[in-house]
Amino acid sequence: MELEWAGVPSVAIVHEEMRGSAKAIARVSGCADYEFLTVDYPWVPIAIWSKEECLELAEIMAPKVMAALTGRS
Amino acid sequence: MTAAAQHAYDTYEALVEDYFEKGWTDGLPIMPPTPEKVAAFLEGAGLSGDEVLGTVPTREVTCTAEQAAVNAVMAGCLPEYFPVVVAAVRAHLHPKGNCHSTTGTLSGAAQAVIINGPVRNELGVASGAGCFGPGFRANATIGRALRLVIRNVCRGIPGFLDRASYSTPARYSFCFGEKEEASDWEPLHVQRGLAPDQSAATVHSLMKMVEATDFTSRNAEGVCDTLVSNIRANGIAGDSWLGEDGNVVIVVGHEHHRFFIDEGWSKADIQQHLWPRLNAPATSATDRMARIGKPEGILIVAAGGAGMGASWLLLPHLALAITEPIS
Amino acid sequence: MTALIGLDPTSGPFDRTDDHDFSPRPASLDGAVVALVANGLGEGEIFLDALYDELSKLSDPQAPLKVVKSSVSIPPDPGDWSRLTEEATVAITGFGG
Repeated sequence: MELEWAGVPSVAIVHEEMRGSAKAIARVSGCADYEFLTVDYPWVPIAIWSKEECLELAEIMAPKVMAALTGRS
Repeated sequence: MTAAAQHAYDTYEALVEDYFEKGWTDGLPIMPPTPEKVAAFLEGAGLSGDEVLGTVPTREVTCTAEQAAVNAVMAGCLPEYFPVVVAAVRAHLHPKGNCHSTTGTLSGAAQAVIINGPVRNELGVASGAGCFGPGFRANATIGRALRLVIRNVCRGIPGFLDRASYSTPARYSFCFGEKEEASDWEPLHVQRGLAPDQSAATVHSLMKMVEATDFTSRNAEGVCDTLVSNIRANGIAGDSWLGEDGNVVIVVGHEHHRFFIDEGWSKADIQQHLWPRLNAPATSATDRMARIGKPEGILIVAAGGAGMGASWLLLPHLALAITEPIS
Repeated sequence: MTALIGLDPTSGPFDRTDDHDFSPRPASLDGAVVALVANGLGEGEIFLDALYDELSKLSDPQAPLKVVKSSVSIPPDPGDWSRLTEEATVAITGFGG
């Protein structure tokens, strides 16, 4: 969020299990509508992932990240 | 006149139930924080309500003396405990106390409040048998006051900014005194630069609490070996922001303490003996390097009662142990 | 009849309104400096590097600007913050564990 306010379009990637606290930070920061991308199981919430899991997730997330950073859905 | 909003109730029971309903308790009943009681706490501590005790910038939180007093009343503190609560809150909200991380972490870290100096005897802070557990008003309510501040002021609420997978009973309250009278060991607060007759509160983040049991050693080195193996089996959290200043707290139990005293080991001797052994390279998955930057980062406190051949290892989350004087 | 007044123990309502705006998005990432801000936990850096590689298949960004925070619980160091705000076109961050 602070990068956004500093003029840098940004996207945060959050595990689905962390959605609640990510929204909480957004609310207390005065940015309740801040949208972020989520990752769900089978990727575990703490990013202790194998290299293969990292690569697979990156392939899945890239189009979503692209859309979030360029405003194109 | 208070800055805090006021809520009116017909009965004591209605107040307590409403505070439960609003999510302002730790799940246990609270004492009503009336304006008169809060004012008495502030007056006794010589504080104005708007004095800032600390901030949690990431959470857009500023904690005032009045807010701390409200929560201290709720916790069941007596007015004379409040200066200790103030010191504990200041310590916890020190930047390197890392409130945001230690109270939000998945690991559910708690805070250990360690009391030193004359205030222990003045207020009845337990440091001997049973000092980790229930039954001592000062211990129970001072620790609870800090946790209520964390919940209500610092927004460390489960499902909101507290992400603990399990949490821990230590998050109800964990406060005890150092058993300074048991030996000529330099008390923790004196090691950290305060005068012996200056009372102090040290707040140490607590990710894991490990019992280092040893009924068979009959000397100081044997006990140290047990301490080292237990710390290395669990590891010590740290990061580059904390740098070389990380801490671990070792609560030396009565039965182990005797060996150190009999053999003339000071706290500094123990620190110097443990430090290279903790920092030795790992040899297996259960014998890891427990990185502590300096021997002085190993904080040693005598406490507890006779009987159990055990000391306790208070392993931190990502914070330093912060010591604040009690005014 | 009011018998008892209880004071609010909190630091106020959670929500506040701000007048911050979201930054305008570039039309594409062609030629963009993509900042990868890792918090240092787990395999976050490996994931972000892989993500950058995938983005490079979809667009033609410049070399990434990599930042690894010195702690999970604090913002980037001032020097890194300056690099981010002065050099990055866009940024990708993570939250949590």
